[in-house]
Parts: sequence; C-alpha cells; structure tokens
Amino acid sequence: MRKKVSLLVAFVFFILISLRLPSYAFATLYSGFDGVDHYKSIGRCDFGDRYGVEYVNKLSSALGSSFTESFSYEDKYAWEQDMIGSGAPANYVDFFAFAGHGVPATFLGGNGAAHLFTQKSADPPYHPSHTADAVNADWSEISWGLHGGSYNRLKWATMYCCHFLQNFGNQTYYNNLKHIFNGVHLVMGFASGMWLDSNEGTEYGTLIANGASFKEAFFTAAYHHQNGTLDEKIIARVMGAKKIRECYL
Amino acid sequence: MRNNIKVLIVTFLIIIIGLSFSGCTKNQYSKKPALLPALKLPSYGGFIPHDFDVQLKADVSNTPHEMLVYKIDPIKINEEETKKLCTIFGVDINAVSKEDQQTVIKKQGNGELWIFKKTGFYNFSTKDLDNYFPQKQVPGDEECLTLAKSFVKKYELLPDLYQYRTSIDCTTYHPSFNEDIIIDKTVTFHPIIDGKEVIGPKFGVAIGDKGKIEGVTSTLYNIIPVGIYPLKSIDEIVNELKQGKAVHWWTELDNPDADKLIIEKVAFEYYGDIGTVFDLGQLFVQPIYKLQGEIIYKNGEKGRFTVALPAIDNQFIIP
Repeated sequence: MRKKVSLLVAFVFFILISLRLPSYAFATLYSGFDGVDHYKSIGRCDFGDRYGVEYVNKLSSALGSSFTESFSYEDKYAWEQDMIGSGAPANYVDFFAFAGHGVPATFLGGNGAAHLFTQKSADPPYHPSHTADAVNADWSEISWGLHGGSYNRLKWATMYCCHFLQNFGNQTYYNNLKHIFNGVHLVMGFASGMWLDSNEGTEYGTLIANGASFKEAFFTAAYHHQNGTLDEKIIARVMGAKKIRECYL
Repeated sequence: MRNNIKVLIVTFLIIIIGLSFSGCTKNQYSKKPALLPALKLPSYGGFIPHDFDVQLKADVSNTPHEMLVYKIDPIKINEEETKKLCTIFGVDINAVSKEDQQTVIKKQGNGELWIFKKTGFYNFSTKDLDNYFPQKQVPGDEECLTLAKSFVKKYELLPDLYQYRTSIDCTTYHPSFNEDIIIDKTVTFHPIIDGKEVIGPKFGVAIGDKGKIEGVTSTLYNIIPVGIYPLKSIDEIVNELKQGKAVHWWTELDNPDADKLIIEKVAFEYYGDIGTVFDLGQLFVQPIYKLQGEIIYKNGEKGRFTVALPAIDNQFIIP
C-alpha cells in the first residue's frame, strides 16, 4: 500500500513537473550549422578568409549529445537558402548557428545580412559583388520560428558574425530587423564588428551543455573572447520576445 | 711559491664557477631560446584591407629589438581556494550540483559558482545578472569602479604579478526602439606586465542593483618568463601588412577598397590566449606589434584603423 502511494505521489509530481516544462524538454533536439572560411581563397571575396567553419565545428562538438546534428554546410556548400524563407533548413532545426562575415544594414540599403560567397550553388561563378542578393541572407528574406508548418521549429539562432543585430539607432533598420522574428525564441549575435575565435564556439557550446542559459553562455563566451581586444567596444546582443529572457536546455 | 700559485688558481676557478652559477656572467635567459609555436590571433569579422600603400609616420627610433616571452602557469584552485571562493560568494561548499573532470558547479539560493579545474578560471553569477526588473538601479561609473576595486582588494582576488588597467562596460535592456535601460555595469581588470597590456586574460566584476555584485569572472593565469626573443623590424611588419598576412584588424568604416594606410603609432602589447574556460589554448604569451593610424579608401573616405601582428622574429617560430 505504502509503495503504491509513493508511486502515485511520484507520478503526480512527474505530471506537475511535465506541465511546467516546455515541450522540447522531452523531444530530440536538432541542430544545424553554416560556416564559411574560404571567402577569398575559394570565393574571391575581398572580406578575406576567416575561421567560420572552425567555429561551427567546435560549437557543434561542444554541444555534444544535447543536439542531434541535422546538417553542417561548410564553405561552398553554405548557401543563402539555408537561412531564408519558411522552408529553410535553419527552420527545421531547434538550434542554428552561422559563422562567417556579416554585412551591416548601412551597406545593404537597410537590411543586415549573413554573407556567403556562393550563389545558391556549390559551383562557380562565386561572389559577383558584396551586395549581390545571392551572397547575402538578409533580414527581409529571413523568417525564423514556429509559423504554422508542422516541421518549423527553430528556437535558438546564433549569428557569429559582424553587425547582424545592429540597427545603428535607425528606426527603419530596427523594423527591418524584426522581420527575422517569427517565433524564434532568441537570436544571439553582435551589434558591432567582432573577431572570429573558434575557442569561443567551444566555450559557448560547453556552457550550454553544462546547464547555462543560452543568453548567459553567449554573453560569457563573448566577454571572455571579445572584451578588451584592441581597445575597441564590441556589442554582444541577444534579442527575443520580452517574455523569453532565459532559455535553458 | 708553487703552493701560492696553486691556491691562486683554485681561488680563481672557484670565483669563476661561483659567478657562472649566480648568473652574473651571462643573460638571465638562454641566448638560443627554444622555438615558439606560431601565434594565432583571432580574425576580424569585417572587411580586411588589402592591396594598399603604406606610409609610416610614427617615430620608430626607440622601438625595442627584443622582448621577453612568457609561459602560462594556470592558477591552481585547491580545496582551500575553493573554500575561500565559496565564502566570498556566499555559496555553501557542500552545495555541489555537478562535478566532473573539468568543472565543479555549486548552486545555492540565488548564486551559482562555476570553478574550472584545468584552467583555474571561475565564474560567479546571481539570478539578477543581466536581468531587468523595474526597480533595478545601477550606480554611476565612478561608484562602480570604487566598489569593484575595493571588492578585489578586500579578497585579494588579483595576482600581484600584474598591474591592471580598468575599463567599464554596460549591459543594457532594450524593451523597445530607442529605450535603453542599464541593468549591469562590468568593471574589467586587464593585466599589464612590463608596462604592456596582456590581451586575453581578464577579471570582471559585474555590478547591478544598488551596487550589489551580481557576477564575477576570472580568466587570469600566472605567467613565467621563458626567454628574451628578437623581434621583427618595422620594415618586416610593413611587408607582412602589404602581403596581406595580418588578420587581427579593426577598421572604423565598412569599406572593402582600401587605398593607403598611414601608420601614426607603433606600440607593443602581449597576446595571451585563454583558450576556453575549460581548457587552456596556446601556452605562450608573446609580444605583438599594435599599429594605429588613418586608412584612406579608393572613394576618398577616411577612417581609423588598428592592426596587430605577431612580433617575434620568424626564425624563432616553429615553421
């Protein structure tokens, strides 16, 4: 009898806890990555080569078993379509990260963007110009989150590049930036220039996997790797709905 | 007479051997220092200037030809040190919520202390860190600096080996466009050795509501001198710049087409990689050239730039 009561209490407790947890607490979580290194050596882009692939690989590895990796597109396999439109692969995973160059809204007529060197294909021609549509996944084309489709599930996005979350104090740019939010919980990124250091990916991912919130993990890793470098002010920014201030795995 | 000569010779030999062991007859460090691993500096995310002319306007007559290189010696956080940190941050030493080979996490009430075993780094945070609540009032910069300085002094949290430069950064909450609310201020202590800043390791104190300490983070380590190394000349550095070998840039403007670089200031700093909080990265703290000045673009625009390059002569770097 006593055993039955204990089991009942445990069951009720479990139900109560379950009601307080988000649905993804029990589901398999998926991750996806786009990383670009060889902007110049393959893509002939004057931005120059970077450590984007190294960053996403280290981040993915550090997240470990917390997520099942759904895709990781690197260099010439990283395309604009991975991020834009409701059917984008980024919208089919829970966690998405891009590492490479970011183009400021001031450069692209009011829309910031993640910059690639490919034109929706792994084959040349690459990178006709910095402003060509195909090499920029810009705010007006991005719509992340749960918006009706049965598979759209993106909750946390990380844009490890310059300027992606920078509106330059401009109301129009700010409104344009809001276009990317269509249910996604949090978007981590920078509202300034920054430096690419793949160790930051390891630290960010390991902190999340160890129970830190996404926001704190991103801020902590950014503080350790960006602050104080060349005396410049780097602005790490996390944006999301007001109600979602913290997200944990 | 013969005996006197013998005594003289023996005395002379003893003096020579004694001087040799005391280090008075030679430099403190080997003249043939071991090769160092190449310094990997983080790459700038913006446009990296390329194909430009360089004009050197800085006075380089007194730039050093050699500098000390240091090896990283992580701070050991033993049981006593753990106890001290727990006492400082008001966390019960027995409140272990997770422990593995890399990390000990202690959570109690509002506070959370993470100790990273391999690196000797640690993070402390409260629930209020980086969080907004309507009545939150963060003191002014001067008060935050005073609070942070007195906190680190009281608990002797900074290694004596360095001097420190302080900087202050705000964490802001933006509930809507044009609404900025300061929710924390972080005072950062940047280590300085031999009058030169070490970029990388740091100590941060986050101050929040009514001056409360809401977060502390340390990525400081000790360093041990390993040798004096020759530096590249400024001409070699300019050549490397022209050849596009620099990655650690900062430019004020986002313009891809640089035309000319005017170097107005040449300085030296140290770069000390921290790796991650879990594992150390590059093990040597090496000098870097830091060049600053004006950049002129092909469309006539002018902006400021800073660029850093590894300073050790390439002959002493592992190929």
